[in-house]
Amino acid sequence: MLKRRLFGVIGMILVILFFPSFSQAAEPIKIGYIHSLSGAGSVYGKPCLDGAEIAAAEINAKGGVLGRKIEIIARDDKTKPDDGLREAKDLVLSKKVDYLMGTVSSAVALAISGFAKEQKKIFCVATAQSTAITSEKGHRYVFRISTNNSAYCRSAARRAAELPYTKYYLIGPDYEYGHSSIKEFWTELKRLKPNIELVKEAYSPLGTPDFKPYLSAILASGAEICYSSHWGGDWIAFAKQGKAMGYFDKIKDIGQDHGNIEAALALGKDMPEGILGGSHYPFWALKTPKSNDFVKKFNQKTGMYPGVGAAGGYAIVYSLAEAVAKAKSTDTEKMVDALETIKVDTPVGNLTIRKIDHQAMWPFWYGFTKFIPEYPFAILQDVMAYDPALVYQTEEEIKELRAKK
Amino acid sequence: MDFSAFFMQFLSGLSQGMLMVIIASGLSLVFGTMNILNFAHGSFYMLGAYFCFAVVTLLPQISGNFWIGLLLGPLAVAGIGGLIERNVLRRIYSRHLLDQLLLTYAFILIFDDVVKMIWGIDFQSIGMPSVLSGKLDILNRSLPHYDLFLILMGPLILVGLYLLLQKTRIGRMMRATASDAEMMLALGGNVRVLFNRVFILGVWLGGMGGALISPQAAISPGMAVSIIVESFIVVVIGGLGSFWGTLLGAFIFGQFNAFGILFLPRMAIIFPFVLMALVLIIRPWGLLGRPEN
Amino acid sequence: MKNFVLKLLGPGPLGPVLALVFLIFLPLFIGESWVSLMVEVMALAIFATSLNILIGYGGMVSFGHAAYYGIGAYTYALLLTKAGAPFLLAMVAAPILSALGALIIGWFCVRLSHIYFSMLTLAFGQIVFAVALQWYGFTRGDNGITEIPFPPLLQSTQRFYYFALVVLALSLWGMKRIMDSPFGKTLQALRDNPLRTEFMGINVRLYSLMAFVIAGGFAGIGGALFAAFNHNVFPTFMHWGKSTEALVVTLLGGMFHFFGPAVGSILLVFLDKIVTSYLRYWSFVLGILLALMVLFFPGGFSGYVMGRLNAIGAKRGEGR
Repeated sequence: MLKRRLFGVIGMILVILFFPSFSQAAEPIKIGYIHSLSGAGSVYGKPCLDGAEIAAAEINAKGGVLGRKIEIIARDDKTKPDDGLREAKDLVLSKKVDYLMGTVSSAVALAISGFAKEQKKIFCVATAQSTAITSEKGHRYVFRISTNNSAYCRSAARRAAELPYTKYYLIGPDYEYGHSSIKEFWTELKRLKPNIELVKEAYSPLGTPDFKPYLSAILASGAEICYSSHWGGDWIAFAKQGKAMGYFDKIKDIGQDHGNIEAALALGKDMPEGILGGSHYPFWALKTPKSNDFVKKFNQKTGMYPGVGAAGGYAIVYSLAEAVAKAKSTDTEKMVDALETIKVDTPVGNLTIRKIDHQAMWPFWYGFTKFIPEYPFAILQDVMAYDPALVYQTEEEIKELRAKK
Repeated sequence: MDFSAFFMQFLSGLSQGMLMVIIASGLSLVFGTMNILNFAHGSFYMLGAYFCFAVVTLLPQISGNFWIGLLLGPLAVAGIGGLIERNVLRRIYSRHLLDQLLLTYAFILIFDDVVKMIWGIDFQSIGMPSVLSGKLDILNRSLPHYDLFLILMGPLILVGLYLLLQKTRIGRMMRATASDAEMMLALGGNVRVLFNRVFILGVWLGGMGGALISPQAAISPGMAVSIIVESFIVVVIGGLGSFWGTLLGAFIFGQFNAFGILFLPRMAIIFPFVLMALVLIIRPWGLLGRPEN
Repeated sequence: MKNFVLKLLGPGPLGPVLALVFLIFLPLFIGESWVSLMVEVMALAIFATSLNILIGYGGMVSFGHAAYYGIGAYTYALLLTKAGAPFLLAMVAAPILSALGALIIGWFCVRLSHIYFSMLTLAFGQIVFAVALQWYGFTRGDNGITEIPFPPLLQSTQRFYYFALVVLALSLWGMKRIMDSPFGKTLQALRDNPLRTEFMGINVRLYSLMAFVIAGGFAGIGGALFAAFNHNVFPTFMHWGKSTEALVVTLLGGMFHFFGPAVGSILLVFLDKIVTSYLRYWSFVLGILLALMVLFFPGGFSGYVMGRLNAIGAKRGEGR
């Protein structure tokens, strides 16, 4: 009788000692997701969340990480830095998330990054492209698992350098992204092929519906080829009006966003063929088992095809999970070290994250647009990506930029 | 620059200008007759584009579905406008300017989300109607047939409006009310019905503008906001409530955009506002408006 | 009981003092993220109250008021990041520069009235926004200025909350004193009957300009406070969307009472927070709310409350 009681007491003590780890095992790993879920950026924000949720579901189906499930808490930044920062604060301070991820707007990303630095919370940028986020303004706790603007533009420059044209017209949307894209492209192209000539550089207000004056100006300028950093609605309007004018028959065109699915789907049959465009995730060409699986799951979940947002969301969740597994803990400092050394299998291939700027070496592909019967939108043919080491900023450059500020 | 380039710039500016004439005259008409500056005009423009898109996607087999959309879309929008006028707007005619602006602004917020609820957040697009998808080759350059169509539609609709204002009874009532609403009431005019008709017409014009632009641009929820500020600029420059002023203002706006980007590209985003400010400072009633107290 | 409530809401200091006491003790009861939200509310309250000087008291509907909020914010940010200026100096410089901006812009605007005034304020507001957006060399464009340093003394959210409370109290007290003074009364007379006021020998334009400048100055305080708290500024601070936010808040809270906009600020921020955690369609909800307020509660929340209490000061023109 006494013995049984003794066993009972010992048993209870043991249970109490182990109970914290039981509840620990049940407690999910919380990822705070902040992105544009309404407003202009939502065409990227929503698929990114879908991608992240697919990843979380896959991981949780296998039992989670370290016995813990992944939970994603999603918030809308309304594409405004004030709202994004407010949501970040709430997620970190009251929802006590372990990690933050998200944003398409670079302004919002910068605002949240500042906060993440203060709070020593890991923030993984999904879609925002401004190089500043990881270079000048980079710090220990911010990561980007997507391409960045310099990869975009330098890849374009390398591809363009292989073409025989020398007279360039440059056009883009009139804000920081538009300007810095053009600058990056031009500087790199000039470095690779010094005999090029800049006929003119022009900018259009973001969101303008009427490109006809710009198109006719470009045609009148005598340039052989035009590089545009337009994206989304601007690119759609540019493409449609250009096509109507026969613009694409008269001048060569190269653009960062031409291969991206969001615009390509909307344009449908109106996409001009034979133009040189970029894509972060040309799933129609990659056809790896991982990518095919992702495309299928994404299609089942949303009825759409995945683009940069979706692939990024998926990659981030997997990266975080891998890092937790490697670090064997969710402690931030250990996670940072782990993230710098892991290799993650993503729909775009195996990714590593560079130490100096925490930028994933995500390739960027260029190819020529073409319609094929398999898909309702124009794909890029003959895609090729350069070695990431060639198109991301070098360590020296980053150090220089950081020293300057 | 050579003459052909100059001429092409001029024509692109003209097609943009003529589209703005249609849109802005809706705004101007409502202000001139009813003294209401309808912020939500941009939303009706957006709805025009979306309804046209809806018709085109619902009837993919029928050739000429764009024309059906062009016909039905703005009419549907006009219907909604009429309902809004009768049930909501009517209550605030005698109120403070701020109330009108905030109420019409509320509609922008509402329609932005309604459009997202029905059609989602993605960009939408419809193709050019096959009849107009060709282009005219002149002076070594190409002018899309659709642009020519827009250049003709603007004046056509304007002529229609002119005839309406000058020759019909309802037009005369509109002009009389614009001058003196109280007198109209005293003379027994049915101002209520008139206001409703005018508002419907104004909304129809906005919706028509949206439907007309849909083959050329992306259709998205952000359309409303971008067009409303441009419309304000046009009507202010021309003169709020002035018929010919809207034409002149739209023409200037179109040409400004076309040539401004060539000569002063960095200023493209500021210039319309600077122009608006200059007009307001120097001649607030606009180039062709009438000064009132 | 009714008498107490009337006294609370009446013109005397009892109401504001009790509110202040409540705000002083509030951080003890709510979590850090709510305290942080309250600081945002305070910055918005200062901004919206300054706008109400123009709208409620002056009858001038400005659509470009965010320009001064933004000028204040950028002045603060630039002084701290480019000139390494001390924190307090930057906080004081902000309203001075925004008042200066208001003086220049206002000089043009007050010559007009009604819709033309509104359109010109909109035009100038957008010009200021475009300058902030495009002058990359100076303002960093749409990437904004981030990681603005701030004094270690105010490091924690709670400490900054109390600093903000002091700024709020001083700003509101300042604005109230001005509005209760003869200047404020004249301004209201001007709103109600400009012709008669002019006949009485008042220089209408001068008074309007003074109101414009005062409003601009205080808006700058709101902007600097917000920039200080968030450690960043972006060109969107000056966009007409921000101006309409202040308008909406003023309408919600009630433009005929001095504390209306402050009340509206609390309502809007908390409503936004609550609604967006359930719905993705905040614009829709806000639009419906706005429409209902305009149609049925033109006096805003405070107007409704005052009306219900059948109290003094509910009539139009007799602001607190």
